[in-house]
Amino acid sequence: MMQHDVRCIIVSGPSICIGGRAGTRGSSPQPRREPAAKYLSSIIICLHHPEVFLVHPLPIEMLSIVPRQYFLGFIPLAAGAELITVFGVVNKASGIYGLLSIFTGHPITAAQLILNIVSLLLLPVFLYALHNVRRQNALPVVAFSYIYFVDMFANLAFTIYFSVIWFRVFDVTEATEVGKDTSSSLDTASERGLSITIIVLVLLFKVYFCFALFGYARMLVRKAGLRADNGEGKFTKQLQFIMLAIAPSFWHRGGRRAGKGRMVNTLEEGIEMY
Amino acid sequence: MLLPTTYLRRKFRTFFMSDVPPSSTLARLDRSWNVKKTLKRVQRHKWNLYDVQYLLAFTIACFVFFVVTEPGVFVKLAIAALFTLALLVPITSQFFFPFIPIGTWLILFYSCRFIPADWRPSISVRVLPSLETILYGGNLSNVLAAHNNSVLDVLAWIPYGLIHFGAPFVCSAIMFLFAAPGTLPVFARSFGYMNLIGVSIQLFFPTSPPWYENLYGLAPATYDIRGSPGGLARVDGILGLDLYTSSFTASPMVFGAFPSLHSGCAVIEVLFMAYVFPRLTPFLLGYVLWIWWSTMYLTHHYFIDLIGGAILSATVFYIVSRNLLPAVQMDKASRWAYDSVDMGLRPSTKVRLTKEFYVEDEEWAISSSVESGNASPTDSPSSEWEIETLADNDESKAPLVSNTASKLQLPRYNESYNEKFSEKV
Repeated sequence: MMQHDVRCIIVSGPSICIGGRAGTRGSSPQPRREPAAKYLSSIIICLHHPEVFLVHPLPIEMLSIVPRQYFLGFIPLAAGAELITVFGVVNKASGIYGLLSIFTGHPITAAQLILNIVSLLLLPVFLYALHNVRRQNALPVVAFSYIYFVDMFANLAFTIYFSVIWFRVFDVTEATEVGKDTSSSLDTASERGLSITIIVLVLLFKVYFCFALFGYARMLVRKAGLRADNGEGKFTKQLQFIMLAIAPSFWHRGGRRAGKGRMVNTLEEGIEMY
Repeated sequence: MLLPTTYLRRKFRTFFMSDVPPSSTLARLDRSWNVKKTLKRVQRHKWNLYDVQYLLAFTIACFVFFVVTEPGVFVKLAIAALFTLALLVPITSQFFFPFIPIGTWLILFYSCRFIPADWRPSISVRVLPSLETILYGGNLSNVLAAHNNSVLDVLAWIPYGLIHFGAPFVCSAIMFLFAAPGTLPVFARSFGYMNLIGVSIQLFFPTSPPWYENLYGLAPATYDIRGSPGGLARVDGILGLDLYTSSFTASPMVFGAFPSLHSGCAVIEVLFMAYVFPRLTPFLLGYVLWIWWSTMYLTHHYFIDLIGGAILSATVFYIVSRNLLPAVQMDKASRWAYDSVDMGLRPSTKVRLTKEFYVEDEEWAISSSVESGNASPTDSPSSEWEIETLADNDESKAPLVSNTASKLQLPRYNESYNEKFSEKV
């Protein structure tokens, strides 16, 4: 996953510095694959000089779950982001079918109605996002990753709510004998366990998908050279400032230093100062 | 006045072949009957990791051969011999070679009823309703099946009982005629592997469909239970036939709700068709929504099954479209108009087929090197990807891309192409 993004530690005289991509600044276009021994030596150096961690937080970025080039370790991030968005679109289509209950006369609760309406409203948003993910438009993808982030938490809340309701009635439904032997069917306890396992896995995947989207958005932001202060157009400028000023150390290397420790009253002022 | 074949042929040529490049043979088919040719091809083939797929297909075929008892040994042997012969004769092999995954899927699906119940994993009855209710807030399939009438029955039957079975053939024919040469074999392989993976999941994770819940409640299931047509029984009543009731009762895969291959097939067909005809995308998406509704209305699948099938298809399509699928050139009307084909979306994965194909034919190699400039990559949908990859190729990424690309390529596929086109000149 990170084989070409190796942070190398160069010991030059008394000072130690961390940073720089292996092979990118050298004269040869081929990146050098760092041998394992070099990794080990860099770890040893860091143990002896812990202050390098304080000055350069890069090794922590190395351990980050946010993918930089490859989704799941082997799929190019662009394709991964597209797949995530397609999965999202497909899932949001559930809103259409849920709301058909109004016509079929099947009773639904308020929570179901809210979930279905939210899904239906997000469907065009996801479709528009798919369009932009394909075209690699940085700012819409950043906005989409924030929307996905919020949607993930909303989904989590709904999932917990519905699972509490469902598992309350899960065991109550009595099993009636159908065939002579019921040995070829899972028993209720293991079915419950399996259901919970799958749901937890789905949620974990969703969290990873969110990280991957942010990773893709970051890739596009860095490629397009977007900063919090170089937006164009009135609305876009403010949106870009809000989205990129939230976690500057995530979006840019060393982006934290700007605009620190000062108060701003308006957005315009903040953008100016930034 | 009769319609002679020459007249039809002329009509066909004016329609499809009016803008054929003069020396292009890319779109032609192999018309040889010589078995030796195929054997020579196998001899020259450099074996690699991707040939494991044929080992897998052979293993599944052997398993099916020993498990299936219904047609006798001689019939099974005859089928195997016929298929081998079809693979050996070049004129048929160009169709049956990409057909291998589909054939494997079909025989595996048929063999399901013969697999003894004690070999099989336990059936889960409650997992799918649980997932559907928890992830989507309610029992969507129940919601849609709650209210029936005969107009809705027919509306549900059209995609589920008719289009689903006809669409693979129609899509194949359209792709053969209008898409870049080489699109159809890629579609056939993707379709086959998608279904093969789907049936394998159904075998290893058997789940009951919504009609089971309607008939038996959430009671434990056994493999003795026969299939049910669900809502299609009403369609049989309307049509006055016993088509679906008998066929679904005798279905080899009763507990195969997840993933829905109705959804999987529809999505992979739609993705390929939208790739070839981007303007039709809204209609194609409408078809997916239609067939999803009908599977739930007819109580054959939960919503989560449809999502499973769609995710499976989308994943297969994205792998294939980035690595193997010939790029569409929008200015080309039919397969005969192509004089060169780019494969995959990443530039390093692209293979200039003209150069690869005709390497043995010196005359062609010269003419192709002159004419390959006719290809217009800017018209193809892949252009944006090219820009992307070119943009981030500047530094450390480039060697890695070429590395993975060479790994990801399916050399067997290339070679089959190479053979197919080079020897027909």
